[in-house]
Amino acid sequence: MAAERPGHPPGTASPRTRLRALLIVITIVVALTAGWPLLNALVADELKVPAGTALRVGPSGPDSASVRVGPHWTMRPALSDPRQGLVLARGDVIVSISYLSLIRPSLVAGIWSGLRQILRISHPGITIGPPVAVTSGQGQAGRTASVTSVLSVGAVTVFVGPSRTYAIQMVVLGPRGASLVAAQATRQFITTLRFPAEPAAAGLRR
Amino acid sequence: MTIRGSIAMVHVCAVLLCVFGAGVLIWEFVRFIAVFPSAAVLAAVLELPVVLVGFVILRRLRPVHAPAWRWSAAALVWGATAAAGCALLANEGLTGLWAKGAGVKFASNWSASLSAPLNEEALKLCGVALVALAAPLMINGPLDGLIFGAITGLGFQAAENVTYGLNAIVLSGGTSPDSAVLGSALLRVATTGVGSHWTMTAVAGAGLGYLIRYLRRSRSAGQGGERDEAGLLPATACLIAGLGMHLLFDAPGPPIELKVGVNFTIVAVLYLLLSSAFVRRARTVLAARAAAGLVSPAEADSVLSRRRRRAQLRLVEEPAERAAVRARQREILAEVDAEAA
Repeated sequence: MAAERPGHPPGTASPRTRLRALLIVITIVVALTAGWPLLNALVADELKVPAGTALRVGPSGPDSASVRVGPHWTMRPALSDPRQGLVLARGDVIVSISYLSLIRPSLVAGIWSGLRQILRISHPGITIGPPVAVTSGQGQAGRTASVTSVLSVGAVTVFVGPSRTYAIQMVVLGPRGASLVAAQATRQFITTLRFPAEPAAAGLRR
Repeated sequence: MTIRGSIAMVHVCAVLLCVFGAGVLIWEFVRFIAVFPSAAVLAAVLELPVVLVGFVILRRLRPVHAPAWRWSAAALVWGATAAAGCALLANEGLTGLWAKGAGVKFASNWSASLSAPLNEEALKLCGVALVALAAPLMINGPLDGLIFGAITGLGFQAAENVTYGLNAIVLSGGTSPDSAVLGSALLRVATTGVGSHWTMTAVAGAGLGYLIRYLRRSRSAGQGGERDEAGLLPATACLIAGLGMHLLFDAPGPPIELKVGVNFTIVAVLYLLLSSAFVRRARTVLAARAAAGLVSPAEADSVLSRRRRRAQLRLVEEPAERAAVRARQREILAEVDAEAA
């Protein structure tokens, strides 16, 4: 019978073995927690998108929308998921296009105030100007507002999908020196936004 | 270094990693708490009953006696803090790599099922391993591994449910934060709750329990003890099964109800097999000890039953004597656990 220590079953690890096992555990935790993010940071997060490419956002055909990119745009694959949202960049200007799933069509009325709250989480420190009506190239009604922070300027725009169960939110942000590119980007994505069905009675009520 | 020193080192590292994991979670979600305080509280409150009921049931499922409260709580906390917080960073890194390497469409469908099993199961199992290192009496074999794995998974599941609830606010445009949190909690508790993290880590934890028993018996064999005849095969099988269950759960395709059913069935069958085998072996061990005169017939009759142990304690009126009887019961149970595991 193996020698037993009080509180320790036979075959229990010696202090040296325990420390070795502890080291293995810590190595696994550190390798996963720091290793993957480090590797991810080492690989460039940039995918060239040819001018004129239509990019779809949303979980399925009827519940989606598409935008067409202009020249010199790239996608950030690590931050993009076609079901939920895309992050595109042109120089220092970053565009986030997100699919928002509305729990009930009646919630469309609260989408702008919800958007203000959400931006406080995703883009803390930015100020949103008063919203103005805007029409997409497809004739869809939406709202847009300028956004500013200490270092950046841009716009936030939202369009509600034809089924009124989802919306597409676009946030364009660039450094203060790139306000022209940011404004062009906002116009480009508003103009090329397409919903799969005819707009009919959809869109934000003014 | 002494045994006590090495165990203290395990304690310190485990606490530090739990603090780190909790810090990551707070850092990631503190703005939600500031912007949507009531919804954030709701997301946390909705998980409380799940954690409490799950914790009680899982501890109770251990045949003969529940695992120590302190170490059960430690496993739960590890799952909810260290494992959940570290997994957040690890998954973000690995899903980013999938998107860059295999494209956003592939990553959208498969990155969760190819990242989460590896990262999350490994991080949760590290908690079970730390319990085994900090308290050698706690995990003697696959059944203990299963119970501690399930508790760790439960903690992880609860923390993840809270984060999913908060993310649901953003995904729904912030239009109805409370409804978004409620909807997310209903889905993740009522629909997927019975086949989620606790089942996967229970099975993988059983694998770790097999591994611990194998290593312990191998060391013991060197000192004249018995070798583990089962070898490493059941350990490997359970670890792979746990990963497979997680992969299936996150994979696109089969309906979620089917995946939940498969996971629950696997853990239920494994539990029934392991617990009945444990009780059988415990009876054999006890009978041998009784035959050798190491345990009295009264002790042999009562020690494997929670009810009879309590009844035996009630018969003793003197507090000091009752404490001695309780200590004796624990001593016998520890011996039975070690041999029957």
